[in-house]
Amino acid sequence: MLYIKCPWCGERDETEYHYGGEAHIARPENPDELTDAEWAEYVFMRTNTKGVHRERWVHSDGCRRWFNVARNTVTNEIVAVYKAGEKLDLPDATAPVKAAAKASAKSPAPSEAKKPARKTAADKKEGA
Amino acid sequence: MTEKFRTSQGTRVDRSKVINFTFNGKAYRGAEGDTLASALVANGVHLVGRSFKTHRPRGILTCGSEEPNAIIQLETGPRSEPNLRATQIELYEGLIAKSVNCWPSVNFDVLAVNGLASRLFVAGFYYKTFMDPKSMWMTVYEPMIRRMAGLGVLPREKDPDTYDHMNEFCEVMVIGAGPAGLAAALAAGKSGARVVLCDEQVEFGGSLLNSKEIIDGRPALEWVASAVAELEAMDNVRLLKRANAFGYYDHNYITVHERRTDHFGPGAKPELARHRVWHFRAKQVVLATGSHERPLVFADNDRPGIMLAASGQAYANRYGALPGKRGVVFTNNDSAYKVAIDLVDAGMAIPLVVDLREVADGELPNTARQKGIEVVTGAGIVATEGRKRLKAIEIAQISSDGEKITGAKRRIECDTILMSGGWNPAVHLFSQSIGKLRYDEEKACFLPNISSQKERTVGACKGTFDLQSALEEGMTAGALAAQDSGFGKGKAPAAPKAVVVAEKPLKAIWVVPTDHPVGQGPRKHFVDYQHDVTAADIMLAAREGMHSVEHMKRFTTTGMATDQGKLSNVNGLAILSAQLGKAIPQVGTTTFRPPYTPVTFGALAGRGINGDLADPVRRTPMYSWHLEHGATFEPVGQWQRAWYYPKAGEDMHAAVTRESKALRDGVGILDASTLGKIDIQGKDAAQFLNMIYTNAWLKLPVGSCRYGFMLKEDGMVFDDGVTSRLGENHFHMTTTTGGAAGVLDWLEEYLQTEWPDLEVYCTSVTEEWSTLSIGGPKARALMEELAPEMDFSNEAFPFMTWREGEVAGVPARVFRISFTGDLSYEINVRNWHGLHMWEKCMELGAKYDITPYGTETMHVLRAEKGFVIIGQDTDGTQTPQDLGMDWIIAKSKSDFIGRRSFVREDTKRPDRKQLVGLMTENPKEVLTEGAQLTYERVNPTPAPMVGHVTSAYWSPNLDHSIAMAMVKDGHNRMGQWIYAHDRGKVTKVKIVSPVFYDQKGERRDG
Amino acid sequence: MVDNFRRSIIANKAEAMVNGSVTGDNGVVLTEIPFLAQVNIRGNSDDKKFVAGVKSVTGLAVPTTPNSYVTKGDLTIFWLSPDEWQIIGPVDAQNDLVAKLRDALSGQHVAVIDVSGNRTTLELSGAQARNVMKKSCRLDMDPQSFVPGQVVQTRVAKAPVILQMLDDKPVFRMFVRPSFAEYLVDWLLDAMSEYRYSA
Repeated sequence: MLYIKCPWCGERDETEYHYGGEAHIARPENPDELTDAEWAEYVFMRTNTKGVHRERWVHSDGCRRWFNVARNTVTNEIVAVYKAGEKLDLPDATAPVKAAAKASAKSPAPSEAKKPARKTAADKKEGA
Repeated sequence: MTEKFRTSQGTRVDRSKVINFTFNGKAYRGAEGDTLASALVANGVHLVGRSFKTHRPRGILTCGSEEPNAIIQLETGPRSEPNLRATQIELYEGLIAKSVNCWPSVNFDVLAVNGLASRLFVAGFYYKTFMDPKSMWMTVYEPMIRRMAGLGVLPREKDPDTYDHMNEFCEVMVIGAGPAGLAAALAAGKSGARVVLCDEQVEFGGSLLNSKEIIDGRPALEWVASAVAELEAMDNVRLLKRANAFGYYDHNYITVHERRTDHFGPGAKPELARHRVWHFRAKQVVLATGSHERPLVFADNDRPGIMLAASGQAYANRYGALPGKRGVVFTNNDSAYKVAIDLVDAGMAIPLVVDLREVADGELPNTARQKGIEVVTGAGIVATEGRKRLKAIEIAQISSDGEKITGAKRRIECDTILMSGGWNPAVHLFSQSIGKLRYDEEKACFLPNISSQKERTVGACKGTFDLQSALEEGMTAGALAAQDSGFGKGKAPAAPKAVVVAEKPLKAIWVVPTDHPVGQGPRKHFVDYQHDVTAADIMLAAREGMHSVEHMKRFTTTGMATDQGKLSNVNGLAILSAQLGKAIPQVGTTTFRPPYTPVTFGALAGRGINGDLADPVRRTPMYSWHLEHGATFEPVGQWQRAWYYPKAGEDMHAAVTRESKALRDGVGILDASTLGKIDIQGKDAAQFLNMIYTNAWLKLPVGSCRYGFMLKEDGMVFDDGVTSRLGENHFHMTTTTGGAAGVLDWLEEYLQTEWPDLEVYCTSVTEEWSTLSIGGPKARALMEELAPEMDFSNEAFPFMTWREGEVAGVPARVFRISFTGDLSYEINVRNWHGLHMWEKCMELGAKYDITPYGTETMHVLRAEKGFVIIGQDTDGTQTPQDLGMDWIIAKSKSDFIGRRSFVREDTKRPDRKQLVGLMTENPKEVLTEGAQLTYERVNPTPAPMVGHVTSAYWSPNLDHSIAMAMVKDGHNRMGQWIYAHDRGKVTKVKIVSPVFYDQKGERRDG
Repeated sequence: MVDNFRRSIIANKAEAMVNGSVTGDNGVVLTEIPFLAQVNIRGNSDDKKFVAGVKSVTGLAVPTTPNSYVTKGDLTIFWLSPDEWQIIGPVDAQNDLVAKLRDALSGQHVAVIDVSGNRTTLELSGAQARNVMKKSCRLDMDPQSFVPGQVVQTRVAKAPVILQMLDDKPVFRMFVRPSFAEYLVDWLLDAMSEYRYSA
């Protein structure tokens, strides 16, 4: 059972949370302007990361906040937790890197920058 | 019966305290401090069981949790427990035990005839023999296998004991209280950190309990006693004996199974939970789990009297029980010479050590020689004799590659073999923690290599077999673990000084040859004792293509018995490697999984063992009324909802028929408190609802209600409900009973991550309000009596509006919404007024013959109107259009969640499965929910399935059976006849509108 | 005005709680405190007007430290989330509190909701109370970790609760949804049963 640190309430058992899938997939602002393929990319397509995966969790039994977790899918090591709208710099998003695992609100991660469509509104707000 | 093999030297038994016990129907005496196994050894009893497949006689092999042979059924009656290891059962007065795997008795086993037919029982036997016909699987094959395998008997009675769980946190968790573990706990304890030290044994000391080591110039057990006393004096240290750490999970989550009362005897301490499972979260873990001695794989290595060397040493030193009269030590390493020396000192005849190595010139072999023990090197045991007890052995010189016998055989009479094939570190927990192992050629074993969690291994578990180094490692790891958890400076206290005798390397010969090729003669080389897997079986597996160790394991069942292969895994994979011509690391190990040793179901269930505490039962405020009035309950998630209220002599059908008619003709009352309710406030609340519902919300007047669908982005319906406008910026949303929590999380996800600028607050008020639905043509009259101050006329209080007022003397919100199609009011009052309101409705409704109805009648009534139930008529693959509800989609809105998916190719397909009604040709025949549908009566194979029945009921108001179904292209097929299939029965049904009753909607205004 | 119409959902458990409690120095006692006033507030604690508004009614600044509460007189404010608090007050105080808060906070982006019926309150006290909590809850309940002044939302057994540590005797309060209350009482009484022998 994972032990996840809610950014507000602190460390709690996995049973207090619900998993919300891959993080940083923003809802397109004008869905009508997207092709079927682009829309399907948003609705259905997800990465299947071996290594550090950024994902959303919600502290359902606690403060009901959604937040982000960077978790190594091989070892389940949690590299970092950070609030919705915050950024996480990881030099290599596929490798478990502990030293760089600090939440930063300044620059978007390189992998984010390449995929502007994959930022949530909350990300945009922070980035602005 | 006297204890013929008892000496005066056992350090941990008190011979003056006699304990009487019964084994396989015979009375024996043991001593305080004995295990069942040590007491049997002291009585000269080695035959304790029969093997799994061939029912060969088997003896006590070990002295610990790795025991594969001495598998016991303990006690009788409701407290009887199967498959316990005699090596771990502490003796208590009056203990009754018997062997599990023999019938009718261990001395005369009928199924031993299997041994004669053992050529049939080769690897893969089950898979090859019991394949067809499938119909015989459950009826013939499985009972037969179970009878033959005979793994004990479960009591039929309810378990009279209690079990519990305890959740604890610590900075440093030390698992294993041998020398390294004790040292680690001492070092960590001194830092002030919270330390837990647990061990599966009865007392602390680990391997020191069995041997005669010297620490700080004293017997090691004196050091153990002082270390334990020092730990006991520390308030920050928790010591758990009889506590088996059986699982190492993510993030240093460790489960420990503590046997709290078993050693007092069954039922002796009713006030205590018999077993406790401790759940630890540790900041740092130190694994000091020791090692298991490895058996040697030689011809007929399974006769009673053949024992692991160090276990024989333990029986002599610890329990004062000699393993036999005359024993031969068979080894490939130096450690077994200590055993020979100790046993000679204890009074047993050890004429001979047979050493597989060509040279044995270390200090220990030389000491053994000085004791008069003959040492034969470059040799092996190539045959054994004796059925129920070993009688003699044959030894011979063997080639240096271990492949064949090179010299003449020599016969030696003896009743005991003490064998040692080296040591396997107990890496089970390390491996469970996802730590990576490496194979060490010199030690011929797997060692911890790369940690995956915040953990350290020390001592024998790390391959550190010399005592001094183990003590030092423990001290260092304990201090560093404490430091890493924020306590102390990481400085290890000085380790005590142990006397260390240098040992020379072992020589791994994985299969000792005999006078015929392995598997071709009558002699068997056992690898997995409990599952009767031989070296020949593994070789066969390799020849049949099982090249992966995981395949070999499943094909031969090596390591799959209750001992989980603690003794057999490394031998098995070494034999596989040799057969494949690969190095051992290339073949690798199988995955280690919890539990380390078996854990009782009672312990896992804990307080939930009696069922009622296993999962919450959620009750509404009116639950007690429903119960008192004979309601039958239906679980809806964790909720217990009133299902129907049978009167005397009524079955379900009669009760539901009566309830259904009562509402349509008069007035009914339903407890709808379980519906999810969410308070939504903020200046952007209406705009938010516009995005999460398919219909339009901006212009909904204050005081009005609206029904809405929520979709996921794929355009599929996932929840529904009525939401009412309480104020300009204030809404009261309802959700389905099951969807309540998920909807709130989902709303928050959009608010917090997509639209954080929206000023909206969502708060769950599900249980603030208790909800009563009053419906039927007489509902208005009853409401007028309940709330004389309120105006219930259609003009003042029309359909889909809500009003606030005092009802039955308490404040209430009344919603005029209907899930039955009839005039209906939903009264919402504060939770603690729910029961009062219900009783008042029953009291004032008596003159209208008010009828309480349950969820079954609710389902019938809504189906008569064709109202869908999310999760029953839908399964996450229906758009609103599929449900025939295009009207609920606001054409004016440019965006809402799921809208874009409507124009996806698959979603706009005209021939999707669509919601329709079905009428059976025979009006009395009620379809089966889930029945598959076809367009034709007779179909090719496979039949083209075109849909399924989602809801089916008898409708008392229509005097006809009705059903709802998802049918491919159903909306275009109104009036057509299709066919429903239920386990061979075919029923002709007509596709109709799902609105069966009051199609013009004339009843909703009363 | 005395409300004769309200009934606790676990009124049927009152006797069992008396019988199941263990008095004495080594005991543990379970009781219900029904009908406490509970008011949920949503707002922005960075907004001085919001903080001042709440303070003008309660005399208390909303706590901004997670898992904490503040108390003055007969009112307590729990931190529930970065924008959510719960006021606990004496029986029947809710109508007055809600009216005054809505008045004091009018015009702001807030929500003030009477949730007095949304949970009932169980109190667990006595020397063995921590052990009963350890059997029931997956949080670190050691004295150095869970102390008076803390309030957390978590699960006790399998019921979601707001768990407050009132004082060091110790006294725990569990605010539990009524539907879970009987299950939780049954669970706790079962967990307490062991201490009847050791008290």
